[in-house]
Amino acid sequence: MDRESELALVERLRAGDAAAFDEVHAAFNTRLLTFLARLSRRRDVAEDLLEETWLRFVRKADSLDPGTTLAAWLFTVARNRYFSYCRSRALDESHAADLLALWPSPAPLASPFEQTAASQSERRIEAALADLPAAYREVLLLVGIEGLTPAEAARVCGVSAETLRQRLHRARTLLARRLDQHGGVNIALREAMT
Amino acid sequence: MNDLPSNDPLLLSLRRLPPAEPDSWYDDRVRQQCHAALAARRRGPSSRWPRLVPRRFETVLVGAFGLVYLAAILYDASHVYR
Repeated sequence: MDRESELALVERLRAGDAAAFDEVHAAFNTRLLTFLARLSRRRDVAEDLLEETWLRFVRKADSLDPGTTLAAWLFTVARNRYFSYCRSRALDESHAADLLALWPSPAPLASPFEQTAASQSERRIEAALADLPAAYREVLLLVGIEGLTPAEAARVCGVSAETLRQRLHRARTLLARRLDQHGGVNIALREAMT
Repeated sequence: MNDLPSNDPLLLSLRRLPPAEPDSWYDDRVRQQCHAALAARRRGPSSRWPRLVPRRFETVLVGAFGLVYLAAILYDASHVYR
């Protein structure tokens, strides 16, 4: 989507045009679901957060800035929804901690992508990615998978461009290390990374 | 500093990972909810108008009572000092 048609879409959205919403939905729905599923590592949570993101988008549609960058706006809301979900879950877990201490804890579930990964190397990358702390995982998802520029990703994460670059570098290093821990990477990838 | 090139092999390997597959039934439901919210927004100004009328009337009424009260005080005061 070029910038000119994006600005025209924003204008139509501000007027409450449902067809414009459908165009944005078609362009971003899969990307947002993929981002949220890899960030939360749970399909059901990702779907709930995606629904909240779209509903927030339409509620705010008439007050969108005419120069809004849709990708940055949507990924910011999706990301913030995820971190609010984490905060509320942490609160719930802290209340239930005493009760759960007596309960046998199950082994952590594999991410939905790990379960469906086609190849061994894909599965390793998914596992290594899912293993990263959320702050590192999100920068790799935004820049590595979604193709946002570091400046756009910085705006989404609410940090300076410099902080984002440092975080991206650390995330990359950590991912490479985790790939080694998850049974080593395939030779082609190892060669490419060095 | 630390700016990773766009052809970084590890980032490229991430970009090759498959996307999630949305559930079409679930997506349709969300889209319908969003269409309903947009339609409600479009209807918004006309449905808000009836609520604005009594609010404006209230302001005028309170202002009128205030003026009558002030006039009465001035009238009484003028009688006291006459």
